[in-house]
Amino acid sequence: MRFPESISRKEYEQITQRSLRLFLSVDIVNSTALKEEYREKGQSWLEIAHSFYTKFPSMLASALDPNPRMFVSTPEVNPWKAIGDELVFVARIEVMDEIPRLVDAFRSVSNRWNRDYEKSEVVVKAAAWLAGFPVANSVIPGDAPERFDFTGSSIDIGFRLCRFSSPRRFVISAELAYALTTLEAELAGDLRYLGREPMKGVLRGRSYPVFWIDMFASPDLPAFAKIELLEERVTGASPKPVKPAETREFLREWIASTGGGISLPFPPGKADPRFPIPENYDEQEAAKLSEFEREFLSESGIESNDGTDPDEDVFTDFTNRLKPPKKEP
Amino acid sequence: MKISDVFGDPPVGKKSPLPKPVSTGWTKKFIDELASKMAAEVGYRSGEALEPIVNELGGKVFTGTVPETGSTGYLEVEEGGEFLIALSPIPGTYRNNFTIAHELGHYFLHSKLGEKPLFATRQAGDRAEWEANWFAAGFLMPAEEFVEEWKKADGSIGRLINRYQLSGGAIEIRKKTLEELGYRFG
Repeated sequence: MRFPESISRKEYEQITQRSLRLFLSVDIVNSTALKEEYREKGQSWLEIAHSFYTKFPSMLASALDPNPRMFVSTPEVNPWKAIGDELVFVARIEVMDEIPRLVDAFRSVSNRWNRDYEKSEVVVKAAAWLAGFPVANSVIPGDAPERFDFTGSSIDIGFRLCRFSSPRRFVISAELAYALTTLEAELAGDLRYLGREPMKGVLRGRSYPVFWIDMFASPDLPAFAKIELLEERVTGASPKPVKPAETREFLREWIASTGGGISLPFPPGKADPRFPIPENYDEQEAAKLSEFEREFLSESGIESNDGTDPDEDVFTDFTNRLKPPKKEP
Repeated sequence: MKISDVFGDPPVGKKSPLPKPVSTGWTKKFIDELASKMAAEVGYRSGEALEPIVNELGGKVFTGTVPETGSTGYLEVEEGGEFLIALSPIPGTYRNNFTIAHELGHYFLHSKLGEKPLFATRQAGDRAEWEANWFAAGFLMPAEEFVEEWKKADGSIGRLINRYQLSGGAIEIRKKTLEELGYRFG
């Protein structure tokens, strides 16, 4: 495997396109301890891992199968990375209203997995985040032609957010919570707030507002979820829903306060008045494109034979200039 | 401002009133050959350190932090011909060697060896930048010698990286360019 230092003009145009992507992560809870347990019991972890890698994507594809009643349009959701016992999917967003539908489908699929596998104690937890390209985040050439990778602050934050998730807490990024509340999506009614959490190494150590979607505020739950909800009825202590309008206002101000570290999401193509393009975006984008061109583009559009050779003898002229000045007598 | 001032304490987010490089309009082949001749003329042997050559020409190389040098560094040629090449530490030695030669390209082609003051920041997309790249490739990897080295290395990019102290990308592009210019690699 080798990452390219330079790419073609066509690839350059692909990677510098304005785009918005939704990342969806699912991770096996306590996988390290579980592996150990499986080994001690003489059971096959490989079988679990294999099912997870193959069945979860199929379940997701099946849940996203275009259904005119459910979806205005269905963007493709592709696996991006498998990192140990975590799978990360990515979808390119064209229309903002697609976002809550995808997130909700991901919640249903994760719950379904948990229903199917709770007896084997292999339960999963989910997280999701939005990332805008090419300013705050970058698409970079991957390890093969036409394969791309993603990097940037929204993605770093997304991976760090995963540690706050649990089979109940579907943790989402501030930009995603902002999008859901702005869309006044039904899903925003299932939003909960964990509070500010320190995030080492991102946004200059600023504490980050962690929001989550209640996995249990959904039909067809696994047994462990139903029991937990019943217990909550006894204690009366259940996580409070947030107020969507206030959440939106808070997040708009908080995101602005990061000084461009992260920015408000907007659709890349057709303008959506609910998600205007941030001020100065064009300027930032031009600077970023120039950076990409310098970093990755191997050749410009200039052909080898473009240009005119000089009439004068440049070589002799340059050589004479190279000669050290005559010393003062 | 003198280079010594800049060298001692480079300003953050360096900006300069000096003009940007203006392209020569010369062909790639001409610039390539000119660069190889200039390398021989200043006594540069491929794979060796470039800093002594820069010093010999009246310049200095400075590797600073990103806030000091900008993300890619810059070249400043002052009135009188002294010049400073500021490098970012991030790309590492191989890519910085190419950058030093790229800045020498501006120094030769666009400053006419110090005659015209200028300030270059490696802004992409401009013909003057490509000319500096062509110069760098010709200066660091003269054509005939490169073809021989390629044959000797028998397809090992690693060996050529060690030989030229340049990145694999620069070496691969050099091969492609020379093929376009009609050189044969066996």
